[in-house]
Amino acid sequence: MRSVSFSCLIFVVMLVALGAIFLWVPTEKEMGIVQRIFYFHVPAAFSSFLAFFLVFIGSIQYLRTREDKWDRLALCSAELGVIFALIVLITGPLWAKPIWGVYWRWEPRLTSMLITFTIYVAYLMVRGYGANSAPVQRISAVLGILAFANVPLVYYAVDLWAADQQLHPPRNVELEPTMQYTKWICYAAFFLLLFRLIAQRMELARIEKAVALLRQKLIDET
Amino acid sequence: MDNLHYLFAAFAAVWIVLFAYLTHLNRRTGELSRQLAELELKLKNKEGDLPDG
Repeated sequence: MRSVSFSCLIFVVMLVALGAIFLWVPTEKEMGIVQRIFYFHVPAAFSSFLAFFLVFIGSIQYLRTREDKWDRLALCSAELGVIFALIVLITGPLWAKPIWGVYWRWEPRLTSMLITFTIYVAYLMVRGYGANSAPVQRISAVLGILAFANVPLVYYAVDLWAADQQLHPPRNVELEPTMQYTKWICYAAFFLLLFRLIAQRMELARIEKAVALLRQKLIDET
Repeated sequence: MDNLHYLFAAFAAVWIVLFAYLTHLNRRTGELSRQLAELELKLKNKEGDLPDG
């Protein structure tokens, strides 16, 4: 029942976000209508960062306690982080083309985001090869901790490299209040969706574990 | 309105990625629930076959 109410809440917040993006927020003067991509590109980026942070927390906690629930949190968050990072990597070039004239340029933030995405795909591949064996869980936890070092690198990429190499605007660009409110509504919608999807993915991981245990029990009894 | 197709493509991409992922999750959950039920039944039958004591 709680999950149904939570899903309804997400649905309502998403509807409000869509209304704000397409009906309420004014069109930005310089970029025009395409600037509205910002309202799902940036929240998707922060959702992926949040998911990767949960991988980091889950990995540390797994190494400390060796409890499966932390490993499951890390695995499920990594999967969702990759999904949201994929959204960022698709919507980014579609925004870049009309504004920068190219779909892709090897500039600091784009490149560091692509590297982060690739590292977490590698993390998922490691998990895929080793199922849920303890050595793979330990290796993945170490990888999950090390991989997180990339996230601040993506966020601060606009400050860390020389300005002439940047295409992304500086951090903390001033937005007019309507745009600011729309941005926060979109953040809320994406974060709620992320938490709901992580919860659903963790439920799936729990069933996977139950199936594996039962299968093992049957083999042992044969 | 010149760049409307880029906005449309980006918006569609978000929904396609999320929809594909949700479909994958639902399919996998259904498949695993079926396997779980089958395994539980097998185990129950096996325990029923065992002699008492």
